[in-house]
Order: sequence, then C-alpha cells, then structure tokens
Amino acid sequence: MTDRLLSGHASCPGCAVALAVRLVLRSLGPDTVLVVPPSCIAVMMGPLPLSSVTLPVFQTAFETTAAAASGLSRAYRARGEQVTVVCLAGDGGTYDIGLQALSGAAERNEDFIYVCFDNEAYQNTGNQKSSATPWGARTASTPRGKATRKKDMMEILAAHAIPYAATASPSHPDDLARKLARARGISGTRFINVTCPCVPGWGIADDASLRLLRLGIESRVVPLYEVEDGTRYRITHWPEGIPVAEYLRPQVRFAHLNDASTAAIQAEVDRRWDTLLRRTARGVEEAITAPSAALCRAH
Amino acid sequence: MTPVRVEVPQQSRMLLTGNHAVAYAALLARPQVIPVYPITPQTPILEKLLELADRGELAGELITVESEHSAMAACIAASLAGARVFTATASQGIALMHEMLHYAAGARAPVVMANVNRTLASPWGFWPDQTDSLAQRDTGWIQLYCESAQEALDTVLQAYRVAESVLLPAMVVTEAMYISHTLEPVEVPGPELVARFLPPYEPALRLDPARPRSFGGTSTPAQWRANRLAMQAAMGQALEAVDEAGTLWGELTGRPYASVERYRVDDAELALVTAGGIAGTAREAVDRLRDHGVAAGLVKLRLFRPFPAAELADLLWPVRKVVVIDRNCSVGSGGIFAQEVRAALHAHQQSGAYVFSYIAGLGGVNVSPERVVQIARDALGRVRPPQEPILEESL
Amino acid sequence: MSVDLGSARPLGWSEPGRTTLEIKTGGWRTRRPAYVEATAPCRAACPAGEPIARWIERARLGDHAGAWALIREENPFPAITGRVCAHPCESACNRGQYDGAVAINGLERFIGDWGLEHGTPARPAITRAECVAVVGSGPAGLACTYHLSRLGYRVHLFEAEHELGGLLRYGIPEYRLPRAVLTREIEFAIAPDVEVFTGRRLGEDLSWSTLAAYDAAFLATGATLPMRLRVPGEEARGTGHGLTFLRHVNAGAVPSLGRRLVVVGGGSTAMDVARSARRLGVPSVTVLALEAREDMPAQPEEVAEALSEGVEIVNGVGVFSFLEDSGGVSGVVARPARLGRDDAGAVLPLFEPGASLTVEADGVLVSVGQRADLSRLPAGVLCDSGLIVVNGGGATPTRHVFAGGDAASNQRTVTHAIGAGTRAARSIHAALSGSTSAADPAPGAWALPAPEHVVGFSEINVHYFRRVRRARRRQRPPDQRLRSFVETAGGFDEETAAAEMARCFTCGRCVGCDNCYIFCPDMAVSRVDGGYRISTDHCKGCGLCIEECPRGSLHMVSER
Repeated sequence: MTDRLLSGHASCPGCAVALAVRLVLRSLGPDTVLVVPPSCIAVMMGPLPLSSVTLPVFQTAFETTAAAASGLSRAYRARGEQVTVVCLAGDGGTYDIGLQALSGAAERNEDFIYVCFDNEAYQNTGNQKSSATPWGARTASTPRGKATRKKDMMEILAAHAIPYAATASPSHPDDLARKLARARGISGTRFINVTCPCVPGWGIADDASLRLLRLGIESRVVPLYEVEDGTRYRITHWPEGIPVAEYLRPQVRFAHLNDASTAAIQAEVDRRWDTLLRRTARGVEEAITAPSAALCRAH
Repeated sequence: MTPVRVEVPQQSRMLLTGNHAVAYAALLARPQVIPVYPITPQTPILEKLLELADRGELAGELITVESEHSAMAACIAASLAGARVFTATASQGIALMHEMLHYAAGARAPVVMANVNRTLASPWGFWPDQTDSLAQRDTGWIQLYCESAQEALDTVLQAYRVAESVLLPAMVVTEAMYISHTLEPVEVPGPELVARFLPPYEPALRLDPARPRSFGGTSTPAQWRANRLAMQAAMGQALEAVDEAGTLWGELTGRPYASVERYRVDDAELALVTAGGIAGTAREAVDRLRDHGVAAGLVKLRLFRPFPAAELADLLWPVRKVVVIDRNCSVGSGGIFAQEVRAALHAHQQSGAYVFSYIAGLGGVNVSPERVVQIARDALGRVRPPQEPILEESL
Repeated sequence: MSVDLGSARPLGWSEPGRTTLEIKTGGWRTRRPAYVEATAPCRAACPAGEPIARWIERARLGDHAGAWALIREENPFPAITGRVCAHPCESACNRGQYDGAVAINGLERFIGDWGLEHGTPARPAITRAECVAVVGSGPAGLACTYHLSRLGYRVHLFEAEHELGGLLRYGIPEYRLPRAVLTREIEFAIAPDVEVFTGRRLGEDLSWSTLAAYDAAFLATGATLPMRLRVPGEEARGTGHGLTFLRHVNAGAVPSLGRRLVVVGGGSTAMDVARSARRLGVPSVTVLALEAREDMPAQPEEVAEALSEGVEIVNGVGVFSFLEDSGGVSGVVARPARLGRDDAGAVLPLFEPGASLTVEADGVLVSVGQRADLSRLPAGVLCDSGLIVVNGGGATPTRHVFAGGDAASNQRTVTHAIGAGTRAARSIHAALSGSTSAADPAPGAWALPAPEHVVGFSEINVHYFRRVRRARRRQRPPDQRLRSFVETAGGFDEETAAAEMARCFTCGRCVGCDNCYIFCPDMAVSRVDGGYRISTDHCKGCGLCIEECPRGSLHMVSER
C-alpha cells in the first residue's frame, strides 16, 4: 500500500476526514482519478498550483459529484482506458445538494466508487446542519439542537439496489480496506459512507477522533455493515452495545442534552439496530430462496 | 454571402428538420460522451441520437442523465478527461445549466452544445424567444446563431473546430419550431469530408493518471484574474477561428460562412441587423424594400460571442440607419442585440445615435416579411431613434 | 490543431511535481510528540531491575536466546527466580487492570529452563588486574560474583558450607527449587576461572586480614541465626527452628518428627517447613501465624498450596507458652494477637482479649525470621539495627568494603539479594575503575530515554488488546505432591508461553506496531531504520499518535 495523500494539506490537526482520505487512497491503485466537490476535502486537495495527492483530482461544482464521475467514467471507457473513478465527497455534497446526481447515477449503475466522508454537517463553512446531522445535535443553524433525524443514506442507496454499499470508519482501518478492496473488485455504482468526527464541529479534543469513533461503533450509533444489491445485509463488526450516553458525553455539540433526550436517542439507536438485524436476517433468507437480483448490470 | 454551387461528391441530400440536422452533425463529429436530457423543443435531437446509437451508427457513450445541470457537469468532466462531448438543451434546461456553463468556460472545456431558443418560464411556453441563450452571454461560451437547418448542421461542425482550437465551449443556437421542427433539404457531408475538417480531439492537458495533474483547486485573486484574462484572450482568438473555420468549410462543402454575413449592404442606407430565424425573413424583406426603391440591406449577426464589434463597426459605418430587430427583451433595459450593437459602434468611435431598436417576435409571435418591411419603413420615417425600444405592437 | 495558445492557454491546473509538501504545516503546532523509552511498571517493581518487557518482547519474536541473555544482563538465575520469586512485577503489571497480569514469573521460568537446556553461558575473560573477594555464595554473593566476572574482574568466592547456594540450597525445599536446576544455574553463572573456596567461614577459617588484602570485598553472609520467640518452653525437646530443619532435609538427613507438628510463623520459611513436613509423612501440621490470612508474608500461592496439601493454618494468633510432659513438648498455647514490633524492630505478638487455643503437638518448629551473625565482622565494619550499614549501591563506609543480601537488608527475598549483588558489583567496578558500567543498551537514537517515567494503565490503549485470560501453571495434584519432593509446579509449554508472551503490553517501549504511522492524518510519521521519525515540517501536534499508541511509548513535548 502506497500513500497517495501528502503532508502539508490544510486539514485541522487531528482531522478524521484527512485520516480517512489517507486510508481510502492507500487502498486505491495508481490508475485512479478523483472527483471532489466543495468540502473540507477540496480545501485539503491543495491551493493552486499545488496538489496534495499524487493522483489527478477533478474539483467539480457542489451538486455534481456523481454526474461528473459519470462523465469521467464514460469518457475513459470511450477512450479505452482502464481508470477507476473515485468520488471523495462530504455529507453536505452527498445527502443534500448532491443527492439528485447520486440518485441518477445510482439508477444508471454508473461505474465509480463514491466515498462520502460524513462529519454530519457542512463543516467547511462552519458547522451548518445538513440532512446527515443527527437528531439533537447543536450546529450553527440548529442552535437548540436539530429537531429532525439523520437521513438514512444507506437505505436510500439500498433502495436503488446498487451492487455495493457499506459504512466504514477510520478507527477500523482493516475493515475499511477490506470494503474498498471489495468495491474495487466489482463494477457499477459502489458507495461507502465513512463516519468522521469533526474536531471543531463536534467539539472534541484534537486527539479524540478515533476513540470517539470506537464509542460510536460500540454504542451502535455507527454500525459497520455492507449491503449488496440492496438486499443482502452483512454486519462486519459486532458491537458490545455500550450506552449511547458514553458516545454523546465527550461531544460539545450534545452537551445541552438532558436525560430525556439521551433516552430518546438511545431508543432510536436501539430501534435502528434492531431494524438492521432484521434486514440482515431477511437478507440471508432471501439469498437462500431468491435468485440473484443482478439486473441491468451491463451498459 | 451567396452560396457557391460546387460539385462536391461527398455530400448527400436529406430532408431534415433543424433538430435532426443538429443530430446528424453531432453524429459526424463522433463525440465520445453524449449526456442527454429531454426538453421541448430539443427532444427530437436526443431521439435521433438514440436511434442512431441503437442502429450502431453512433459509437459514443450516451448518458441519460437526470437533469440538464448534471448533463453539463458530465460534459465538463468528460471533456477534461479528453473526450469529445455533445449535448443539447433549451429554455429551462439551459437556464438550469447556468452555473455549469460558467464552470465549463472557466475550465476551458471545449464542449459543444446545441440550444433551441424557447421562451423561459414563467409563464410556460414552447415558442421561439432568444432570451434563454442570450441570458448566458456572460458565461464565456462562444455563441453562434443559425437561421436554417443547413446552417445548424454546418455550424455544429464548425463549432467543434473552433472550440477545440481556442479551448472554449461553444453553443449553436437555433429557434424553436421555425427551425427545430421545420423540414428543409439539407446537404449532409460524409465522414471523409468531416475528417478533413475536424481532427480528433487530443488535448495536451487532461485528467490522466499516467501524468497526474489536477484541475479546479482554489485560486488566489491574481490566479482567478489570470484565468479570466486568458479566457478573454481566447475569445479574441475565437474571432479569427470562426472565420477561418467558415472559410475552410466553404472550400470543402461549397458553403462558406463568416461571423457576420452581409446581404445587399454595400450601398445600403438602412441596414437591418438581426440574428436567427428572423434573418431569413429579413433577407426577404430587404428584397421587397429594394424593389420599392429603398436602399436596404441586411447584416446577419451569426457570431454573438465573441462579439464581432470591429467587423460590425466597419460594415455599418457608411450606413445611415441601423435597424436592430431583437426577438428578446431584457426587461428594464431592452433588446440585447441592440445594446451590444450600440456599445460596439460607440466603442469604435461611431455614434450609436442612429441605431434603432425594435423588439419583435417575443414569445414566438410570428414575424412576417411584411412586419420587417413595416419596421424598416418605420425607421425610415423617424429622424432619430427614441430612447425606448420600439415594440412591434406599436406599429 | 495543437496550437500554443500563449496568453490564452488554460490555467486552473496544478503544476506537475508541485505538491503541498511545500507548505510546512509544522509551523502550526505548539507541542510535538516524541518517542520515548519509559519504564514499564514490572521493571520498576523488580528488585533485580530486570528489563522485563524487553526480554518478553525478544522471546515473543522467537529469540529465546536473546531473551535469556537480556534477563542475565541483570539476573543470572531466571530458572531459580522463575520458581521462587514473589513476583512483585505481576502485582505492578498494567495488564492486571485489564484482564489479568501477565504471568511474568512463569515466563521467566520458561526462559530460564530453556537457557539451562539450550543456552551457552558466556565465559568472560579476565581483563582487569584487580581481585575481589566475595564472602557468601547465596544469591547475593553469586550474583555479585557473576557480574564482577562479566566486568572482567578476578573473583575469589568464599563459602562457609561445603556447597554453593546459601539459602537456595539449604533453605528452599527441592519441591520448589529442584537441586538439578540450582546446580546448573550456578555452573552457568560462576565462570571456571572464579576461584571457589568452600568450607571457609568468616571469623573461623577466613580471617579479616585475608579479606583486607583484596582490592575489594563483598560481604554476603546472609542472616542464618534463627530468631527466638522468647517464650517459656521454647527449648523443650521436640522444639526446633524451621531453618535448621530445612537445612537437614536439604542435606538429605531426614530428622525424626512426631505425628503432630506445629509450625510457628507466617512467612515462606514457615510454609516450606510445613509442606516439607507433610511430604515427610507428618499427618498433622498446623501453622500458627500472627498475621491475618491475606497479610501473611508468604506468597499467596504458597499458602494455597500448603492448604491443599493438608496443612492447617490458624491466623491471628501468637504463641503464649509451650506445654511439656515427660516426652518433651506436648502442646502450644496460642492466644489471639496481632503483629507488633519491639524497640529493635523484631516481631512481637501483641496479645488481645479472647479465648486461647491449645494445640496438641509433639513437635514445634519456629520460623519467625532470622538475623545476621555480625559477630564475625571486625569492629571497623559499621552495623546498625542488626544489619551491615550500606548505601543504595551496597558500599559500606569502610573503603572498598561492600555488603548486600540478608546481612545488609530487611528486604529478604532471593530477588532482592540478586539485585543487591548486582548493584554491588557495579559499585565495586565504579570504585576500582572510576567509571560507571554501561547503562542499559541505548534503545536506539530515535527514542528518548525517559527512565524516570513509569507507565501507568491510563497510558495503555486497551482497544488494541483482545481480552485473553492469563495462563495458568500446571500443578501436580496434592496427593501426588505429598509423595515426594519432586517439583510441584509445572512450567509452561511452548504454546502456552507464546500465548502468554503475546499478552505483554510492552509498556513504554515501541514494538513497531505502526499505529502511529498509520493513524497520522498528516503522514508526518515515517518509518526509519529501527523505528519511526516525526516530521517537524508537517506534524501539527494533534496527538492522535499518542492516543493510539497502545503502550505509552510516545509523549507530548511542549514547544512553547
């Protein structure tokens, strides 16, 4: 594995997105072109005329990541060149403004890997809420805590039946690497959602990102799983099931929560985990009883 | 300029609508990536392309994107990857693309796009109006306006040559219904002829893992300015490139083109200046006026961006009255061609005081030769142009 | 159509070969991580100062010879201490706060036994002119001799008994320390060119003037005089002292014992006495200890083994008097008491109200401690409170006279004695040569020594360690044990040892796990020969490397 992200980039000290980008790029080959919309990642890519990445990077407009990736992917195919197109986008550019393009590309099963670095708000512009912000979180645009729940992007993409979707975390680098290897081995629209704490946005210490992620994973707030063809769910890490309060406590964005709110979050996490378990079980049943649902793969 | 009849064996004659002529031009250009999105009145372009692809004649990657904004985003990316691209749109679609039109020009991506002028909502309408393309005049795109299906076909291919030489995107504009849906006989060149005119697209700068370079990083004020000035310089080069392409096309097909076309202007006292479908009508009106002893002529504005100011100024300098007909109205100001013509003449130390601005055909209302004659006579009857544009309804 | 567009050419592309490496983000930070070599708590607790985490690491990498050599940089007797040491290292072990301390003692035995079977002891050459006398061949004297040889000195080793070993041979029973192991360990440790003089007792066969002729002398005569209870009837027939009893047993002379033995004392010697008696067939053995069960100075394992071997232990009582009949001692009267000390510091029972306990006995062995026989030392050697006065390095106020072990310290364990002998050898070397012997081999130029820092459990990132139960030593079943003096405890097999070695956190020392390297968001950690380097150009000082280092081998250093 080679590092394709270089030092000197402008991410905050201790940024989990930077670490996650590094880890993702280590799992990619040299014949890769990256697509990046406005985001913290874009700033990391380096001011002109410098680049922080040894691969070509195309910075595109905010709504367009998946559309640009579609164009690139088709262009290389038309030119007969074997190039892997990989998108590195934030949650704002994926869950909100970029959702149309992603949905369109997913429906067409365009051939690229889309990695969303989910720090649960528009962090590059100063922590404004996105649809990826969890319920109860304080952001610059939800000063009393967000009143609506986090959008379930994995389910949206599962509904599109893309060949591969997964969640991942930089705290579990082997799991992330395995998922990227899996994604690289198939064609079509592949999506990985990587949860990344934001030091200033979530209100944690510079060195706290990974230990907080572990708490998020063990409390089931951040489940690690895969979905193939929208039906086969596989949990890739079995969490201990610690109380959600342990995950919320170190974060300033949740400091205002009272016991009732914490209990509500716990109930929601429990409900989602239970749903995931049932989907996992049902996926196993369907895999046994139903034929493979791989339609519309060929272009 | 009168077409010269030349025996050129590599063309075949087909009966085509403006839309289908555009589609055949796109086929001949052999684009490698073609994002398409339907919108009236451009949809038949995409239908024809899909049909050609289905028949195996069109080899490019057709992407049925989910919006025009995405279509343009895909075009830009594909273009920077080194692929020749094509798309078509109209009205709401080109308006939706607006952000990305700026992006394409700033990225120096030689995207070629056909736009069929159609009214912009609200309210909804499907008829010719030039506002949709003119509203993009600041985006950095080359704009060429066509008056016929033949011109549309020819211009799409010339647009590729120009765009790929100066590295700016180009749009080829026709009008809803009158051109897009009207059948006319069209000479369609064969692939060998086109190959002599349009070499393959192989940009030196592209997104290439073998030679990694990145595009789109944050710029400083000075860097952004430098890019803008480079675009301006490229537009300057485009002026020559358009004429060069039009001349070469004439040698190969017998149909030469220029950025500004003149008809009976040499001794004209009054020159009609217009673009698009009305130009054909105006040509008829000029003949009628001449028949009645009016020394009228026509200056067809084919190239709108870059604006051929110097050539226009030269042409119109001896003319006593310049009568601009706009099928558009920039509300709060007036006809856009009139503004540009006045500005050009003023910049070339010629008073714009004798430029008459008429607005006709808004919303797709038919502009007949009689109407054009009426406009000319109205101008002749005035000493000087009023401050406000003259609406056809007032005549 | 490839035209040079000149001033109209496209901009907005990055320049080939120009990267953000040009931006020195290191300028952002006010603090910087540094690799350190800190002290693991096991080492801090080890009386012999062994680099425990390092030798476990060597062994874990399959280098048993290297591990053995590392132990023997400090302690020449891993096969011995791996059997008899009270392992304070394990009490201090950080893993004890997670899923159970590493079984260091068992691992030391494993390596020690490996060494006895496969190891080749170095035979250092004599490189120095000086000759040093060592008096006493218990663990302190043997360790001192061993280290002096390694430092190139000629050594004359004097021993009062006929064989070397001191309490190792004459005090500790064979079922805890097999004779063969002891003999071989001594063979390995004592080089052939050490001159050994047995049967030479200081003050009898060995004069002070003889010693004074040497360039330096190390007194390790031990504490062999049994302490007395000073209770009526203590001299009755059938009573005796535990250490004397053990000496006889270890010499092969089985004394006759009655059928009901009482052992007085709560330490290891008392346990050794009781358990030896059981193996010699005494049906009833009762230990009377002043201390509460959990406070007994004997190791908890020894107490548990004694109980499983049928020894009865009564806690919290002191001997009040002995009962006698015509045959000699017939019983012991004990009363509830707690531990006290007299003015001289000797143990004294403080009797408390409560019913007394009479234990029938036809034999009593008293094991309440020993004192050093200082009568044989010349007046010039300073003594106080029953011990030879020494400083931390074992030097007495008398020039070139050193002392260590039970004669100079109340910390009376084999391992403390080994540590004392080791330190004394180095002090002797410093005194004779003027130079200090080499400190621990440098950890490598890339890590800063921080020996004063003892790694605490909070510095361990337990996420990187799966919970694994600590290895258990095999024990012979109690009924089998009592049939002979064959060794009671089994050692680890290769597989068990390997699994247990893997449990060591290696506190405070980098093992090259790459966590710091892989978790740096700025790629500021690079691998260099033998270790890692942090780029001062690009490190932003976030501290993720420190947080994710599983074992506390990175510290934050302020740069303000």
